[in-house]
Amino acid sequence: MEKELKALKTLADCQAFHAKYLGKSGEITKQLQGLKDIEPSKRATRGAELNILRRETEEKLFKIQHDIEAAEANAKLMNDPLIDVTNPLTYTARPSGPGVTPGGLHPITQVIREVEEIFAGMGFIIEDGPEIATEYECFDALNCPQEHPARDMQDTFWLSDGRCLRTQTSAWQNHMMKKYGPEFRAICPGRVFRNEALDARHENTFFQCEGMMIGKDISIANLIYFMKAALTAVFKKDINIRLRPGYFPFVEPGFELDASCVFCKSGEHCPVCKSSGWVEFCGCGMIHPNVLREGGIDPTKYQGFAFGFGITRLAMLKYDLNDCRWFNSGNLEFLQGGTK
Amino acid sequence: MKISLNWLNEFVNLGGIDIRDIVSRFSLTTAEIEGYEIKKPKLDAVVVEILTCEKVATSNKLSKLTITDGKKKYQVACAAPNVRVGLKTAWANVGTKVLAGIESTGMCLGADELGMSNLHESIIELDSSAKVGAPIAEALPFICDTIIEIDNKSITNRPDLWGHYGIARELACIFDRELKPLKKTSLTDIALLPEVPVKIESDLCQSFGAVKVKNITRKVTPLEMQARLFYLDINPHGFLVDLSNYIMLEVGQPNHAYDGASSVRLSASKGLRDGEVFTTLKGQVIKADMAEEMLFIKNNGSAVALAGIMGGQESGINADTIDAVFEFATFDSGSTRKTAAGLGIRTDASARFEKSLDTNLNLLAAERMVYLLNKYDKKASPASKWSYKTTRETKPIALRVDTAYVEKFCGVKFIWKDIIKKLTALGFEPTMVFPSADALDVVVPTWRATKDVTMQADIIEEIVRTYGYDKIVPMPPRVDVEPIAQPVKKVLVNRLKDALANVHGLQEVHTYIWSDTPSKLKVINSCIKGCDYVREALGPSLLSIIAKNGQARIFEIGQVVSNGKDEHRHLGICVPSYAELASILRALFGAKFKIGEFAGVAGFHPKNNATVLVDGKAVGCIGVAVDKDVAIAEINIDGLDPTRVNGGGKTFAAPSKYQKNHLDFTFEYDGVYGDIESAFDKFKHPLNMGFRLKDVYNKSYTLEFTVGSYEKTLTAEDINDIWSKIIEFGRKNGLTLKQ
Ligand SMILES: [Zn+2]
Repeated sequence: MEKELKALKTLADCQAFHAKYLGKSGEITKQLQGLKDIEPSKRATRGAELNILRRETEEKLFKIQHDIEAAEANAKLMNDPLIDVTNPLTYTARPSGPGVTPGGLHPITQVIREVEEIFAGMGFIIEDGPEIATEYECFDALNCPQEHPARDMQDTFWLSDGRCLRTQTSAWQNHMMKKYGPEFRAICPGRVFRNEALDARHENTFFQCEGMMIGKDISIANLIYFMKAALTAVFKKDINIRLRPGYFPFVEPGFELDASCVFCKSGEHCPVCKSSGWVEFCGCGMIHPNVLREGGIDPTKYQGFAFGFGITRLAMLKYDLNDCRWFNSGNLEFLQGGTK
Repeated sequence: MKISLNWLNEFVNLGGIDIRDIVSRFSLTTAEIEGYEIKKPKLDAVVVEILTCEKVATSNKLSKLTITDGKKKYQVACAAPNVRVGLKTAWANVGTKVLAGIESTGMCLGADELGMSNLHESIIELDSSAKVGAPIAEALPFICDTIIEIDNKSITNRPDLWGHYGIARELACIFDRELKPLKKTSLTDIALLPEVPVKIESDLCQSFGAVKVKNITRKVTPLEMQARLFYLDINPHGFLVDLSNYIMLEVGQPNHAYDGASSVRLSASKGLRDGEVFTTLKGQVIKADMAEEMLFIKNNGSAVALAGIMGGQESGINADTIDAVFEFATFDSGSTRKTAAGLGIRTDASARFEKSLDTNLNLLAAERMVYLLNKYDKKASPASKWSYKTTRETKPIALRVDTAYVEKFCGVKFIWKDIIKKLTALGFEPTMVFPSADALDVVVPTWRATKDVTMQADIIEEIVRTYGYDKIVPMPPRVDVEPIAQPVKKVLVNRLKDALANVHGLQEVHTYIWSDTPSKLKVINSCIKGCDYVREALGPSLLSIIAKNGQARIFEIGQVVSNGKDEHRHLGICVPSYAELASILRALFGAKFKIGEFAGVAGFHPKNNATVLVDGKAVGCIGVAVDKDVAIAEINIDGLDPTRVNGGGKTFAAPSKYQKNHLDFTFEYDGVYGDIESAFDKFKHPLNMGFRLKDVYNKSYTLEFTVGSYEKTLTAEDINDIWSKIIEFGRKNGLTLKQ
């Protein structure tokens, strides 16, 4: 039977083989039917053997059939004409004219561009880190040792090699310090990942922007100045900011930064800030001495601030969207956008 | 965490301050407040007195009462067991109805009907001094309260804020008001009483104290205490349990009570005895083999509580408890967190221990507990001395901060006298170093010294937050002006995206980094469907977008991994036409293609696929995806030169003054044009200025060569020379000149 299996070349061969062994009156089927005539003590063992044989034969035959089908489909495709892409005259022009949608950048890219331009204009380097981070980059280098409760605050996707999908763009802080330190200013916009279920307010994949400025006498007053200037540029309106205490292990002191709401209209309830006048915008703070030290920077000589804000959230504010899931939806009608 | 304003007012007089100010100043100085809620009686009730009381014959519960609100008498039917003549209680006129044949006007109210407790067996018993006819809030002022909700996440680093007293301390500092000392009964001067045996057998227990109290006869919790607990979402259960919770909410020290009728010998140790099974109050069963790293409290050797998390089913006190032993301990934060998370049990106690508590809270909480016991149950008195062991006591920390550094760090000139006052209000002991005044010595109180405040930067935070972030004047930093070179990777991505979207009319999309197609890098703890592996290619993600939207022109620049290890940035493009895809890549990178060896991935057309070459190096592949009938490109863009994108990076030279000539050659060749192109790329001749493919017909390729010189006008001989060399070169490379 093995030999016969190997000799199968066409689908018709396979059908014949199936009829011979596995069909209604096939040999294996017949033997199975004949079990009832066997001595009861041997029946169970023989039955098991036959069933295994039948299953294995079916599996082998199925695979051979599948390979033959694939080979036949491939052979058919091999009859297709060769399109010579090495020939520059084999050219199909980009479709144009009415009804053809023009190309475009993802709305998130457009927001990142704006942010990048603003910070580049203030002399910031625009850095760009990988999406897979080591535990060290994502936690230990950020003053979150193993037992730190902050590790619970984020739901991390862990990978089989011990690394993780970065939960925050802060995972690139350590690298930036080592690459540009001790005196520099840089931002790092990028994608981050949280292991949580999707809803209108929670994506498991979203964009943040990390920023750092380190120097010999960078102060909290500088941080406030910078954030105010940057946000004024982002929202294209004069923005006030205020700091509240916030806890992030990698900064000390840490702040929650609120920006004055640009959506408030007098006399109307504002859904964005719930009419408080302030919108929680980002976390920031003075870089923790342990974080500087891990980045090879002497905290007795240098200090600086770091901030991180949500690009996806900024895009939602900007485009007045109340569901963050659109950005990763792959829905082209949404992504192509429109004009007001 | 919820906080009662009445309770805070017991420790700091916040009179005259608007609740909105409390919320905003606390949010700006200490931690985020999510909101607040005003509590008041659920019904519009007044104080009444029962004038007559008789059982209703037709009912085994109801009594018929005559009550007065001072102005008028009413007949009321009431089922409460505690009705009696002379009792002053709460009553609300909710209309008249007939109950068991009796006309009844309004109702006498229990604590639950007033919305201040869950207890409903009996009606409110007011003090005999209560003024008949007065609104109930006058007789029971604690029924009106404001409950503030603090965001738990914003106080994870502040163990001291997990009790009302700690919050009161912050507010006293913020509003410059006095923090009243906690009233306590000293337990350290009753040394004559016997000890409660306590033992620490694992250093996961930092400290362990116990005190025994006898003659506790009170069963019902005072109404005020009930109301406070109830407003903070804790249902009253009975005096001792309520008192235990009350202490935790007040000073932040979780504690546990044991029945003291028989002898109590407490110890803290890891693990259970062989075969021992511990069942938590909530019914979770813990067996010895899973308990090795868990810390238990044991009474006479048997586990009675999962330390810092939850008591066992038989551990505690019961309705008959008259003598009780109270335990106040401190457990290792990491171990508590691990055990609680491992078992999926989070309790008010574990939430606090996880924050690293101060061991000195043990005695403070015990002394406060005994004080309150005594206050509400006069006969109760200590039956043991304070029995206490410790392995790691929390000690105050001494820090020195450099005042000039602090001012530079903040960008503020401080008035240090004011700073010292604020720090003192928080319990720090600051001393200016004299005579130089260039440093401040600060002793950190133990309740801040467990983890929270350990270095100069932590003191700076205290200084600047109590000073007020809003008072800091924004200042531009002074920095050296230096040219900024933006990283190449970023520039490349931006240029590619611009070219793809604007020149080639493609829509950018974002897809997830994971897929359900097996790769060598697995996501091990995903809670999301389809998120099992880190992807190795963008193609399948793009095809899924085509599946959703139909034919489209899309691209993505995104991360993938190879070999389960190295992260790469890929460009994926998907357009309907394979030929157009090739022209896009040619325009983008000056890409060339190699046909013949299967370059694609599963699902690619076996013939119509090609390797993509940039500067002779393979960087990816293109092909027709058979089942969607679209063309896909998958390019690794790491290492590509951004200056060359879309025709960039050209060189410029003045054209030759002399005339150029164009020579056409038609070669016959049974193969793809790429072979001819790569052959003639190697053709060298001083007059050769390049060639292009002009026409293809039936395996006949017409090439146009441009020939010329910078030095002279070409002669017929010059042209003949290169003419014959081109034909000769073609012949050597298997190209026959068509006659
Ligand atoms: Zn608003």
